[in-house]
Amino acid sequence: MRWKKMMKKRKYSSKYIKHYIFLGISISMVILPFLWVLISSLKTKSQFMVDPYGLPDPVMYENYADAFQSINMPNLFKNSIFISLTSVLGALLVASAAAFVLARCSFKINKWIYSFFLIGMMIPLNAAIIPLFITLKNVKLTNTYAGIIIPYIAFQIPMGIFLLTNYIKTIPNELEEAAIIDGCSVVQLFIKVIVPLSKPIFATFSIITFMSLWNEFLFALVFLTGEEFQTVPLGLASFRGQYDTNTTVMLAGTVIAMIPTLIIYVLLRDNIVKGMTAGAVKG
Amino acid sequence: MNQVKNKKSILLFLIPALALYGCVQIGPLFQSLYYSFFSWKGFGEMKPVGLQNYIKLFTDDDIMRIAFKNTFLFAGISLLILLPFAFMLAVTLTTKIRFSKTISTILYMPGVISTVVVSLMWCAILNAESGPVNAVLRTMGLDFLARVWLGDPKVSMYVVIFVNVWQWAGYHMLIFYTSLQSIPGELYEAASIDGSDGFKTLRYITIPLMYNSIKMNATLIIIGSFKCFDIVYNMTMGGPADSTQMLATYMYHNTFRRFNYGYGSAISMVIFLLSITVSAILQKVKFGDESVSY
Repeated sequence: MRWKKMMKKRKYSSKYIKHYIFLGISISMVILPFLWVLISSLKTKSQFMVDPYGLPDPVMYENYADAFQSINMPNLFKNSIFISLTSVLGALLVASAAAFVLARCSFKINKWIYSFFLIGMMIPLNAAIIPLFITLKNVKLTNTYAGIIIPYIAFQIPMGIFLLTNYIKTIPNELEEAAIIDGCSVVQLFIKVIVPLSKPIFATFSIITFMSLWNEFLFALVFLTGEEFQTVPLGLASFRGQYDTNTTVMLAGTVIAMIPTLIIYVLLRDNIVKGMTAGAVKG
Repeated sequence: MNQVKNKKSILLFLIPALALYGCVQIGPLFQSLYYSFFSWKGFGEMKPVGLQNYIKLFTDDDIMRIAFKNTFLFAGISLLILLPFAFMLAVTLTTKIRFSKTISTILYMPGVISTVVVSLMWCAILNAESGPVNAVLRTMGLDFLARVWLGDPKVSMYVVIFVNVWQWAGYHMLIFYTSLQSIPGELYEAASIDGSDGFKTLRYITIPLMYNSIKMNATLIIIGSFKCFDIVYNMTMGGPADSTQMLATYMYHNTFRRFNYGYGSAISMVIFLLSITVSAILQKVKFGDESVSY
């Protein structure tokens, strides 16, 4: 009997070895490109051309300084932070107010309004971009913060309403009934009862909205043509015209751009994963 | 809440969302439809052309044909590779394996980074002279495989598709992984007591319980290819010789480079209709018996 047990054990460990090999290869496929980018970003231009996988010698920290200056990184980061944060706050405010009414009032029309909002999750940005651009140009809002923040907020509303309405519905009603008997107004009810109880979903929604707006490219490309208001992805894209001559500096630029994202990702990993998979239900 | 009679304040809560959503998302959709019946440069006279834009789009535009072909190629190859691969990763991670959380964190890493960064990284990696891909091939004596990856119309589209798969494999894996974790362990215990082996368990328990997430991933992949823009714009700009044009990039090209606003709008309506149709069909379609529950 003993050999049978051993056989079984052996079978299991060999089964797991296959798993580890599969996962190991997959992880290397992800990590190696990043590693190569990091190493190459520290090489001199001439070493980079002749030695694609050696270690940097000498180490060129100057590439980072060059990348920082050549596309005006401080300004790009300032714009990205301001635009993303303002849009997240705006979307949160507008969507949570509507979600509160949709979750709590049993008007017959509410169901229709809710479905009307959900349709928005299926509308790709591309379908609305041309008229939006023309309108923004006519009211002179292209190349302004408002001209990008307003569309950003609007396009996050459907997802926000979907996530927040479903969450608020799970909050028990009793607290609100008590608050109403105590003479709370609707606004007070919202601020003092709903908002504090919805903090977890607010956090999830804010994080996924922030991540997707931080990386958004198409709207930014079309609506922000001047350098003054450009975001990080746009600034990086402008490297493309010069990458043949300046690859090491460009790679340093991509490293600078991804560091903040990766730090946020590692710190808030669970929230991001939860949000991204919850948001995917929209499909 | 129903006790609240103050309808004015209720409206106050709903109006900002309705107004923004209506004016910025729904309104422009109809405007797009309207523009698509005109020949228009974005300023000056709008010349009504009826269905001419659509007729040209479907019958008389070679680049549009390439864009359609590439978009469906993109969707098809992504489905064929991403679905099984992401599924296998998720299933492997759900077994009693160590560091599964760290591994999933690493695998999803490319998905949180901007597509611009991913595109630039891979442009450098695939560079014909200084990139490591060709260097590795040459070292291994496989010189005949080395090529100008992004400059060769025969392979450039496949390269872009590969980079996109590389970026999103972790994301689709996570969707499967989350849904796998909601399957109760007792089901697997019962199956193994009944003498089910690994393959049978996968075939008769895991996959039937995953139909919804398979559908969700498929929808995301297909719609993703309809609106795919960032990666093509940053890797190839649609080139060389328009060989990597897709629906969204060709729409951008027509509208914001050539100022054919009417024609661009017609393409954007095609993107919209395709997206809506696919999500509607996939929502209706039933894979096997979906009444299976646990």
